[in-house]
Amino acid sequence: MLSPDFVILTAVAYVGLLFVIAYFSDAQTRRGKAGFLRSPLVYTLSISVYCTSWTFYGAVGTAARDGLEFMAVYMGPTLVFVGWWFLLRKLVWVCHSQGITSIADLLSSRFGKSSSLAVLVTLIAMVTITPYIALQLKAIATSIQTVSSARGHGDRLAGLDDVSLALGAAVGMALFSIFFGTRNVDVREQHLGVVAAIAFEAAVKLLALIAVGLFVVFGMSGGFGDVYARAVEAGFDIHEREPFGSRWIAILILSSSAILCLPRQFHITVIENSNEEHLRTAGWAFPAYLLLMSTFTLPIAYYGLATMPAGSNPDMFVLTLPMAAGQDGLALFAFIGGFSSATSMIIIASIALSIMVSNHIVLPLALSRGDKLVETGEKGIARLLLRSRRISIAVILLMGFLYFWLTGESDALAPIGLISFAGVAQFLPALLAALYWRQAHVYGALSGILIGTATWAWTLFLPSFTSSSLTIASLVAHGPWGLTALRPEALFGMEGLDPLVHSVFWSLFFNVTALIFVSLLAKQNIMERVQSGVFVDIFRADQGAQTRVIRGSATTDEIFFVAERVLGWHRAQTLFEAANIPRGDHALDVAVSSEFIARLERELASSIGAASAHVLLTKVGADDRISLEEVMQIAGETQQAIEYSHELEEKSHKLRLTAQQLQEANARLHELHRQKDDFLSQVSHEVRTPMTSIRSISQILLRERDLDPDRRSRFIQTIHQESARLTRLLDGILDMSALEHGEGTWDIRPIDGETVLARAFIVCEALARQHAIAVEHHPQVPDAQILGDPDRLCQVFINIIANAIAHNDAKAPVVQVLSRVEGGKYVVDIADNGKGISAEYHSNIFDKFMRVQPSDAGAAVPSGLGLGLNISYTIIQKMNGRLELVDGPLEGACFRITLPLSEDEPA
Amino acid sequence: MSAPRPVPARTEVRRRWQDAGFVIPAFAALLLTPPFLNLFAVRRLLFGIPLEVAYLFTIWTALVLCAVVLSRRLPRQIDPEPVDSPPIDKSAEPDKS
Repeated sequence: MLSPDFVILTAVAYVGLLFVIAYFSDAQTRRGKAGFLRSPLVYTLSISVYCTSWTFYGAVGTAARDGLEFMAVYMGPTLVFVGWWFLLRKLVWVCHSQGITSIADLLSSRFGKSSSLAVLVTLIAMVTITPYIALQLKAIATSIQTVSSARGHGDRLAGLDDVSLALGAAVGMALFSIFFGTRNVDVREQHLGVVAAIAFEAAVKLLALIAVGLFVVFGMSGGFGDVYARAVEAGFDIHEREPFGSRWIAILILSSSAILCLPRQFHITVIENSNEEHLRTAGWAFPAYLLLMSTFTLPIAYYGLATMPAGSNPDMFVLTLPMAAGQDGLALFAFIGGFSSATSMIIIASIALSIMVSNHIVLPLALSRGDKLVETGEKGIARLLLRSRRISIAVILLMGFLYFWLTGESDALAPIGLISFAGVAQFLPALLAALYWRQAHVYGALSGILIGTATWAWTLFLPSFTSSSLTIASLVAHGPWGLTALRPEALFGMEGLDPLVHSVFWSLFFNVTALIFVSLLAKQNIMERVQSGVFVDIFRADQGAQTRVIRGSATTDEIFFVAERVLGWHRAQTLFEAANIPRGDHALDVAVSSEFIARLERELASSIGAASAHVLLTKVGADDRISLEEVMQIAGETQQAIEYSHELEEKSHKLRLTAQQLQEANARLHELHRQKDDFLSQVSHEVRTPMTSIRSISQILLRERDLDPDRRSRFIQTIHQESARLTRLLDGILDMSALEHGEGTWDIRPIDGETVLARAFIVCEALARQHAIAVEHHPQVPDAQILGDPDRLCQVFINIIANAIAHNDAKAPVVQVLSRVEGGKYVVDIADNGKGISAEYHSNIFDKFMRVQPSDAGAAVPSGLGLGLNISYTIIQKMNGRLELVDGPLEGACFRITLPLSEDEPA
Repeated sequence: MSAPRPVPARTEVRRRWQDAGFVIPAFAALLLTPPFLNLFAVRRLLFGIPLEVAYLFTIWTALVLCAVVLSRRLPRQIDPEPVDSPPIDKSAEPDKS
């Protein structure tokens, strides 16, 4: 058994070791040899400040009571870190580029550098984290009592009770945090000494837990299976008693948000990060650390349940199991592991909170107290901050201690880990909106966080005091003033839910709802619009930063004065020299670029927070409305450039379209040109044939005077025929040209189509008789009133019927004419039983000079001009009708003429 | 009009890994929550260990291994996404003949 003296002195010695580690790390850093301290390994280990004594001791207790629930506490962070590329990377980039110092600073900076938001977040963080610190103090006190409880006589330190032990721990941690956490107001608030100590503690707690686990699983039992078998033998249920449900999901959500929103996690993951690339390693190494931390939790829990006497505290199994086996050394190691996890949490949490308190509460108060700046001297603001930070750390730890002292005897501390998680989870909606939603408004964030926290306080924080206060117990049971709808654990009658699930649901529901709806209703001011753009589009290339000269009212000396108060003369001087900004009397008219002011503001912000830095510069008139409007102008110009490039894109698109249309038109022109050429060559060819025969015959007539009269008259006959054909041809061409150009006289009037058809019929009868062809005119329509030129229509009918007669070479040639009225149209089909028109001509049968060549080579070349169908087609088109080639009733070709009926009576 | 510009193979691969960086944790979240998780809470033992415990630790280990691969494959330096400029379409130029 370990004596209390020995245990307490070991703890003190261990804290001494932490001091030494932190001191030498700081010394190394100052000598510029911080290479190892800035490694991804140290970074990853320091993140495991997530594993507090609540997880070191409490996970085993949770596992013994509730089975696998403890795993959800590790699963959430695992998921967040595996997905580091999406959330953590952006978070770290934003915070580095903006010189963010805490989660309060992040939200305030994004939402228009709002001071009130920063104050609200700081206060909520204080309220939620203080009990958590108390929990660590309690764990330290209890573990010291446990590990040394057996014997106490003769030891001088044995007389110390819980309270004195906790006070001692609080004082020790306050000293450490003040020594190493507030040495200076550093750029980006990095404390490598502290981080080194935390990383060391992380390694210690992991090794301690693994040592106990290995001892339990392989030293005292025969492996994992054996542990479970023993637990079953002892009558314990090793399976999940109920299926995983809403509580599992709620804890998963809470732990995912805690790894981002807990002030200490935010500080260690984001602020103390020296290189964004370290996330790459932490992305897998931190989940692996958590995996190792929890591998032995269940076996330790079940082994303890099976072997320890009934009623033992499962929260202390990690200590009591080695002690029961007489392994004092291992028990001491386990105690140091638990001590490490408690102290690391206390140190980082108090530093993170003190930064928030000093930057967002103390400094704004000091600044609002008028022009005390002058009296503060060089680095005056920095000194003020350090002093307030030291006091805040002391106050925070004192509050934690008081909380422990007042509630220590009750079990109010036990569930505080998850209660605290649920409290800081209220920052999550605003945090995500800050990074991903441009429109999110400061009022939305304020109201969301306020209403969410109020709901959390009512439904979860307040009921945690049920066991220590009768008033609260009755409030929880009956609601305020007997209003059952407002009972903290059954809000609006939502009963039967686990209190944690109930609270998480309602608080986040109200939080998100308020954030979204208020943001949609409110209008962002200029500053907020600028900041939202910077945050949401952090990975966009050009942020539109252009050098501009501002006409702010501040002189360079005034600006330097402010910079010196925060950064110290040396750094301020370096900054001004780097930007080539002269000072002194000769620099009165020198204007400072807003780019420099922005950089200076970021530098200041990395020490005192965005809101305070902004207030400070506004106070001296360096960063007033004028410069803001210019920022907007820059933003406007960027916007214009974007719009202009859009316009260009559109124009070039239009140009491309026009070019394409031109190309198409060109192609059409080419086609028309080719058609004209074809037409001309066809016409010349057509004209040439009769001309040739006329010329040769007239030559014969001229040369041979003694021709017999018979031949002479035959020759003259031929000349006559050919010249007649020539005339017909020219008439046809003229006719066609007139038609095409819409010339010629048209006698359009209501006529009876059937009468015209009958007229054409008579004309064709002679031709039919000549060819011995039967022309049948089938169903006669009583009257078919159409609008048209009767002579031209007759010409079309004659043309087509004559074609059908002339080209029909069937044995028993037949031509059928079918006329009918159909759907408001007068339709005439003219069909024959000839060979028909082969498919290759179907598409261009109505073209000029198109003559169907006979398929057998021996047949005579058709005598037609090849203009008839084209002319007919054009005429019918002029009368709003259609002429087409269809599949007819006979095997030959069938032309269909369709003309619209008219209302008017034929004249 | 014109076919979309071919994406360079390197960018394509990079985008795939970036997508994987989101899909892997999202899919893991699905595997780690009910109702899927309850498929394994069936009061059975696997090598003497409760099945649900074995399952959770298997998924967790797999997730860590995926994270190792991801951290090797995700792009190193963060350069901004290339801005898509309108493609120049040669075929649309007016015919000179």
